[in-house]
Amino acid sequence: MKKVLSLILATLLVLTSVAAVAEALPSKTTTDITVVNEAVAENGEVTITVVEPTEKVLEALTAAVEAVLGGAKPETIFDEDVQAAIAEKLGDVELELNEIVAVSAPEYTEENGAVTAKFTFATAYTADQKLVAVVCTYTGDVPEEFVLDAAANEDGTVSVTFTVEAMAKIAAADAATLAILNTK
Amino acid sequence: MRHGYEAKTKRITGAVALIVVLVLAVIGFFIFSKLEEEAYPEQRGQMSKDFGKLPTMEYQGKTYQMKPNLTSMLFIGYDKTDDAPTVGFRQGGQADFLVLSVLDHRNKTVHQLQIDRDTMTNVAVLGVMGNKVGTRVMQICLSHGFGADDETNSKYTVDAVSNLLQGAPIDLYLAMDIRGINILNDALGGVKVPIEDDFSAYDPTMVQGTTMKLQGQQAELYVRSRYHIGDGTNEQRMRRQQHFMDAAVQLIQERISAEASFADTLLDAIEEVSNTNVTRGRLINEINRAYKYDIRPADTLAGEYKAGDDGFMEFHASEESIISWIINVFYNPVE
Repeated sequence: MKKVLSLILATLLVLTSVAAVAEALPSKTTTDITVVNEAVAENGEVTITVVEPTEKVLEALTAAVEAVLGGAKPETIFDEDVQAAIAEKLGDVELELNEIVAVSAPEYTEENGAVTAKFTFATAYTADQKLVAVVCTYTGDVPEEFVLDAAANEDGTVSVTFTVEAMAKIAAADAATLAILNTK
Repeated sequence: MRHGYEAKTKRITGAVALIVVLVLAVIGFFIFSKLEEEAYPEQRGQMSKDFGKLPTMEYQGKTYQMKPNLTSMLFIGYDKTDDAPTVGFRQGGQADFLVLSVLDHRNKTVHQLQIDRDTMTNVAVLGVMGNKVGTRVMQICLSHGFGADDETNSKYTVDAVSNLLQGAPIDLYLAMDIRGINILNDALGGVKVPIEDDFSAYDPTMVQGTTMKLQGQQAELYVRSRYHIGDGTNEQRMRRQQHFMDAAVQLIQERISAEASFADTLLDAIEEVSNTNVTRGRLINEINRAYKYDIRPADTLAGEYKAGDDGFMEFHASEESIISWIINVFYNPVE
């Protein structure tokens, strides 16, 4: 009898949990396209999330899109020091900018150290493409920009290495963006 | 004699002048035609080779030929609120409602396929700056997100649906944003639907187990919302959308029967919240033809719901179900 009751209870649990999963599962929207697969810190646990862009970020991104559509090279939306750093990493080659997302990491502290995060973007990067990431943080009027190492993985994801400085700025900023530039 | 000579000279001169004018006219015609051809080059296909040939397909050892005289139209309902943050070429929102209607003008039927917004398929992706960056398998609703304007958003959605349906031709589309749901409902004087789910969390006047005429915001609530309604699934929401569609179609049929210009009135009502690739005249003609046809209830594809690795709902349509629907609707077996 106990066994039968247990079986019934277990079945009920499974059925209700399936229904709960079905109900709980959200539907994907365009703001969910970019996924942070993992964020591994040198110490402790860190979460990096893709968030809705703030109004200030939207203004900056809109201006950037307009500039590039108007004929500017994508790297020129960043300041000259950043452009030089990009050229140092990738060489003097033609670049594309296909991904810019707003990111957040409010719980990060410097004790966590550097962070390597893996992203799945809508753009399917290939392992033979050279990439670089640029983080912009917005607090006050002048954004701060950081050039970070990035690489496309065999499975199409992109790994970005966030320095302690960049992560600390992201955590403290009102808003931050992550842009991925790639060789053509 | 002299008078006769002069007359004859005049006739010859006149004839020569006429011939010159005619020759000049012919030359002018050819020059003009050439210039026009260069300005508007004619698209030359394989008309001489394949004239009169309808496409065929092979499936499980049988040959099928495409039915003649079909018009396929994709209805897109997209969710892109004005205050949603958007950037560059990723600003189209999602196509949460997709119905492909295939008008068979020979058999006077309309077949419909309601496509789950979470159906996984290859979607063409644009980078944020508009670069074409390949395709990714993702929920079909996201195809509408790519592009910088309504026309491009709709084009990418049409392409995604056609790809899902093995390249089935989609001739026309009509896309409407969510604001259009209530507008459409009001234009029809309120669509009557069964309230099969518990809406008490949103509107206590929408009593489960009753049938009611939707008014005001209720139409959008009925077809768009799902959280805290019934089991909260898109599957159940699609069933509500189907109820709304069936009732709305019936109302449209009745109204066109009573008032010949109703199609025009309806399109006027949704003009500000919709976009299409077809002229108003053609759209009205298609509606006025189709309303007299045998409009079948919408089909859905068989498949499996599962959670993706990213935690979002995915619907994996069975290939057999897709091909079976395409063959049934688009093709005739070749004896």
